[in-house]
Amino acid sequence: MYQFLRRFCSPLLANCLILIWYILLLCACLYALDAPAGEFRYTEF
Amino acid sequence: MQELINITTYCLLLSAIFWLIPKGWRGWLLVAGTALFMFYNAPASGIILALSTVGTYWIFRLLPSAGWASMLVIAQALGGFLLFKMGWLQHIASPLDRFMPLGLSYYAFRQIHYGLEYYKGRLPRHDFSDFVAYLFFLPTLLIGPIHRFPQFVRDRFRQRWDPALFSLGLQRILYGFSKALLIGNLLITNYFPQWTAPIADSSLWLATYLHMLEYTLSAYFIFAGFSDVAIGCSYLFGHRVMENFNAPFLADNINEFWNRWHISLSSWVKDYVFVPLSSLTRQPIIGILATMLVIGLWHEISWRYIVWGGFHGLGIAVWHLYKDSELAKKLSGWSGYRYAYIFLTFHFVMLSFTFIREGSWTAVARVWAILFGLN
Repeated sequence: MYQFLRRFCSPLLANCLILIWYILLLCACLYALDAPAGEFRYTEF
Repeated sequence: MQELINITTYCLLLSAIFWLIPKGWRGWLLVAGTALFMFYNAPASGIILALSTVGTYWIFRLLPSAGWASMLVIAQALGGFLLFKMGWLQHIASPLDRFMPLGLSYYAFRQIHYGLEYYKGRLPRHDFSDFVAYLFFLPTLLIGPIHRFPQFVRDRFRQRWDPALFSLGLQRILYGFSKALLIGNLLITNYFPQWTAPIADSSLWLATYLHMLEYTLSAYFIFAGFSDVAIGCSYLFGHRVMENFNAPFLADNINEFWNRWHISLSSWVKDYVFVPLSSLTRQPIIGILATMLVIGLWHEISWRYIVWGGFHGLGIAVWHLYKDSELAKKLSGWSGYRYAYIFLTFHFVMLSFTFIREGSWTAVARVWAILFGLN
C-alpha cells in the first residue's frame, strides 16, 4: 500500500494516510465487537 | 471471538518480554507463557496436552526403534484425538474448557506429523525445548494453521529481532480481525440478512439460496480472519508459519479449491494420507476419497462430516475424470469457460455446506429440493 501511495504523495503523507487507514479499521473492528455472533464457529473444531 | 481477542492481547504482551530477554530463554518463555495461559483458562486441557507432550518425548527417548516409537506416538495422538472427538472426555472438562480441548485437533495432527517425520528420519537437529516449543506454540495452538516442525526449527535458529516482520504481524492481526469481525460477523452475518430481507421475502428459493450464501461467505471470512490473526501473532515471535487460505472462491475446480482452502490441513492429508495410499493401491481415486474422508473426520466424527468429505471426494474424482475428457477440451476453447468453472466450483462448495449446517437429513433434503426446484 505504501508503494502505491508513494506514486501520488510524499513519504510523510503516505505514512500518515496508512496510519489513518489502520485507525479507521481498528475503530470499525471495535464497533463490530458488539455485533451478536452468528452460527458459524470454526474454533469448535 | 472473545477467546481470540484474549489470545492476541496475551501474545502482544508476551512478545514484548520475548524480545527483551536473552535468546536462550525465549523458547522456554513461550512454553511457560502458553502453559500459564492454558492452565489459567482451561486447566484440564493444559494437563492433557502437557502429559501428552512429555509422554511423546519419553517414548522417543526410551524406545530404541524409531518405527515402534513413531507408532506409539501416533497411537497416543490418535487416541487423545478420538477420545475428545467422540465426546468421551467432555465430562471431565470444566465449563471454561468448552473451547480449549478443541485445539487438540491441530495439536494431534502436529504430533502425528512429528512422529512420521521422525520415522522417516527427516527431522532437523533439535532438542527437547524445540519440540515442546513447537507443540506449545500459543498463536497456532487453538485455531491452526497446522504448521510443520522443520520450518519451525529453522525459524528458531534464525531468530532475531526484525522490525519489518513484527509490524507485518501487527498489520496481519488487524486485517485478520477486520475479516472476521467486520466482514464475516458484522457485514455478512448481521447486516446481509437485513439488506436482502425484501428480496428473500419474495421467494422461498431466493431465501434459501441467500441463507446458504451467507453461511458460506461468513465461514470463509471468519475462518480466514482467525488464520490471519494466528499467522500475525506468529510473526510477533519471529515465526513464519504457513499460509492457510489463498482466495479459495476464485478456484476454477474443486481440486484447486482444496489447494487454496485450509491449506495447512489439505497439505497435511496430501502428504500423509493421499500420497502413501495412492502409491500403495496405485488407485488415485481411492487416495482422493480416503483423503477427503479424513478431512471430514478431522472436523467432527459424525455422519454429516463423513458425507461432506465424501461429497468433496466424489467431486474431485469426477473432476479428474472430466478434465481429460473430450467435452472438457471442447469447452476450454470457449472464452468464458473459466468463469463458468469458478461459478460451478463455488456453488458446489456452497451446496456441500448444507450437510454441515442443517440439523437433520430431512432438512438437507428439503434445502436440496428447494434449490433444485423440486419442492
